[in-house]
Amino acid sequence: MKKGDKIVGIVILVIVVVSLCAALIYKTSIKGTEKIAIIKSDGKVIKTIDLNKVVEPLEFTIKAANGHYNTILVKHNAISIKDADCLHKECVKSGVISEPGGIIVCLPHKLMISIQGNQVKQNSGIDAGTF
Amino acid sequence: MKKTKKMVLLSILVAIALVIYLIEAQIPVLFPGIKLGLANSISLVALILFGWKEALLIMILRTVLGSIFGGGLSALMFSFAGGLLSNIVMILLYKYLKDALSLPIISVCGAIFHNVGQLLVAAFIIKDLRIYLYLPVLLIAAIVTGYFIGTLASVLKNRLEKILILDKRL
Repeated sequence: MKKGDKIVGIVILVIVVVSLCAALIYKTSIKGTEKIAIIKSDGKVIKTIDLNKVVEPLEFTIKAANGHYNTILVKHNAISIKDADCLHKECVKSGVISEPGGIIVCLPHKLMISIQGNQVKQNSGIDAGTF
Repeated sequence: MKKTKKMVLLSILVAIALVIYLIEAQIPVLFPGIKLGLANSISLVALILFGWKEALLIMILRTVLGSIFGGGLSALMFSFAGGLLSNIVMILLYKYLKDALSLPIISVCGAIFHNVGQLLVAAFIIKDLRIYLYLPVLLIAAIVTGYFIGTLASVLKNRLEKILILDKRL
């Protein structure tokens, strides 16, 4: 152990704590009464689903620009990626998200699913799908 | 050290790093992005025994060859961004603070910035900064694996140093 180790060690610890707090603050700040899942492909929102209103489990497939797919499973207050043809299937392993702030990402397919706690603002050209 | 000897040694190190990387890729990952990164220990050893140019060279070669042999093109971007940032940080830390910081700590810093770099590329790809929500978990893994790799690198350095000094014939 050398002299500077302690200082750097403390700095690193502080960074970890700060990043943890930042993540927690973010998750608290977007809490709300709603649970709206937003699915983005390549940066563009392609689907929004009000998870609160989902009664029957629903499955659908999203095709990425390069021809690959992700199969998404939507249940009441929960959304997950059931299957995908990406190499490591990290998105499938990510499991289910059910709270605002949760995210699932499929990087090779540029897909991101997130849950918002508040109503989504309607922009022209983007459809909001509710069930 | 003669040019040929150095080239051969660096090639061997690249090959070793590559094999470590490919074998490690077979180990199942518990969380997107968490890897041991054992191959980075080779770059770190190269930094100490040879210098920053050699360390960067090994990192670049290993990354490129690694994605040709086992990763795919998109993996190349992440490894490259993370590896480059990580190496630069370790090079600077070693150059200016090598007396104040032990290798494991330098390695931990490198590992942290490796993750920062990778998340930066990921954020760019999905065009969303919220991927940094994964940072706390990745940081903790980075600290643990970084420390292990730094220890490994210092062990390697001690062994290789002796071999290089003893071999006076070349």
